[in-house]
Amino acid sequence: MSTDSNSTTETSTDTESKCGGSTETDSRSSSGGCTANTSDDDLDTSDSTWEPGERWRSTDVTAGDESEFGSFTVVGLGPGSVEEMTQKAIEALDEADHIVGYETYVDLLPEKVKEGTEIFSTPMCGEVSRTEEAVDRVLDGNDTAIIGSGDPNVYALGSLSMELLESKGATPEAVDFDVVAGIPAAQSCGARLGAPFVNDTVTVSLSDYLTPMPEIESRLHSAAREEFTIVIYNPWSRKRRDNFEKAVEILQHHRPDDTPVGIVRDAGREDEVSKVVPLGELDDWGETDLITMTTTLIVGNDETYVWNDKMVTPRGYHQKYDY
Amino acid sequence: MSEGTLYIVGIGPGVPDKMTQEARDVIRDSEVVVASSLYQKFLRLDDVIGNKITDDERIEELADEDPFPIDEDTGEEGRLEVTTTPGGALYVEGATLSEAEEKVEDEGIDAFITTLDSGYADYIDTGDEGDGQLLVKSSMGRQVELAYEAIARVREGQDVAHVSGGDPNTYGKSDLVFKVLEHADTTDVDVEIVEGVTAGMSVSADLGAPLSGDFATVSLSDKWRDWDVIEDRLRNAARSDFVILLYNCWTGYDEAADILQEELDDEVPVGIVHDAGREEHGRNDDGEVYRVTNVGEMKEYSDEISGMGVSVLVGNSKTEVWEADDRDYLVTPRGGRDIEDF
Repeated sequence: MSTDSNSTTETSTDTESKCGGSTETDSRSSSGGCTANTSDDDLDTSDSTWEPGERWRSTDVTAGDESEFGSFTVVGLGPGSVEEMTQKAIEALDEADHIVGYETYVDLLPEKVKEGTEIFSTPMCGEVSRTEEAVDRVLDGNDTAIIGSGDPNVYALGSLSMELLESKGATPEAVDFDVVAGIPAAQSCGARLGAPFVNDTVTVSLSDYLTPMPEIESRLHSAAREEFTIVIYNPWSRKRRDNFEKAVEILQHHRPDDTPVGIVRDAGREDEVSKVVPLGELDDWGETDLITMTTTLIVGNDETYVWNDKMVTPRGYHQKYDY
Repeated sequence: MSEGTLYIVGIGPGVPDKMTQEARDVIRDSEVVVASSLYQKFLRLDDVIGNKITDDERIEELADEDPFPIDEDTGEEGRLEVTTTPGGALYVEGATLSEAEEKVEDEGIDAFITTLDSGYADYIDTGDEGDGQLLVKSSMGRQVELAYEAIARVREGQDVAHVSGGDPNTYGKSDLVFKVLEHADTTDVDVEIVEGVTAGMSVSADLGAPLSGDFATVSLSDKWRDWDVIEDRLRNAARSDFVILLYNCWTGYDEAADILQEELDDEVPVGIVHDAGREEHGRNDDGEVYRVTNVGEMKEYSDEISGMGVSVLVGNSKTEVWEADDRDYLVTPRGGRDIEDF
């Protein structure tokens, strides 16, 4: 963890906080990271007092006088570069007294928004305790922003933030809660592939950490049958090898082997890779470093084709236009 | 590859603070900008594209001129109208593109709108160097011609920005541009997509945290396909407990509501958001809507569904309404199982 001092406020608090997180000064890296995939493999919730799916725990109620709460903003950074953040995101971070986030994303923030701001960044630990940290800071009276890549609503911290807030006895209105949209990973990956999902699309995560695998399978069957293009988040990890294989099996059952599948890893980062493969070969790529937790897959439908290295799913223009 | 680049740029949901700096820069720096009149208006208001003429005398002088020939096809006399935009730009209607460009060159006119075979265009002087920026108004039914013109200009070395609302990949323009490139067998044109915040993400943020898990995006427009396809997709998305984002709701809303009522419990929450945030930026004609209702009652709000700016979000079996004094939030908890399973 970097301690090189920049213009951020240094504090000595929280160095013994949960799972290695610390309040720190600016630490930059060359990473231009992107991907809104939740890194749930790294989740360590053993020290959390909150359980997913649980709305109320009276023992958790720590909230005091509402008038002393800070504001709470959940900010989506998009793919990672400052140029691809919205103005609203930058303003929200500028206004925050405290910013909480995963180290990689904190590093990506413009210097301007870090000035005079207390930064709490965690290098490795889980999203639950990170979010809890943010909520505690809000309840202690600090105007706090929690950051994540992509969009807060796409497998990210939006609902977790609201649930944790409520579990601690506060309400969204009491803390002036706000969500700032960001560009989701799907859009960043789609941009690199061409025009792969311009029409109706479903977005599915293969992580069964919060959704049971039978439900994921059922959704994949349904989406594949109905010729939706399918964006798949969290496609592979060591612990979820079977999920990937099962998903490929379902897709191959409904769609021909020559259906194009776009694979984009680390979109927006220096080492980004994108590739289009036929569905029939997708299982071969599962064990390669092309498909990881930070990869997004885009599965074409019966209209999708590859032209000039671009993956295109056209709408039915032929009905109307004569080229 | 071509010297110029064809950018397909997503400008987000139509408010300046949800546009990225990259989109802004690409549009500002392109020699040609192709955008609908609505998006042109937004870009003007946000100073992304030029607004140069505010001199009333100069405008009247231009209005008195009659430089336009009789239309060969219709026999009608060319029409000249000069108006100012909210931002102060000058529109001269009735010239062809070459005439317009000639006028810009010869007479130092700063802004034009002209009737073209390929739609409408106006020409704006963007700076001290006198580098003009050509603004082309895209209109439905002229997309193919516009794409061809864009290709030609990119080959000449110009940068062309083709503007989509939201993101180019979500019901945007990128597929059409690739179709035309393919049809013209044009493999030498450098195409770059600049992604943007989608309407769906924007509306979700406004509503709080309604997605959190898997979701489906369905357009209700049957312009390019049969309604049966839309119905099947909607039905299956509802049955599979996806949160559903509906696009292009100005058509088929009541029919969609009927389908959803058959497939979902009446209590499933629905959010209707129209032009969120546009009013405070002075760009909303019909008024904003922020409505939280449910599947059983969603048809009562059909009259609030109008125009391009409306998005409808249909929750799933887990979605909850959190009532608050300032607004009702939609929250789809992440759900989950016992902590031992992690």
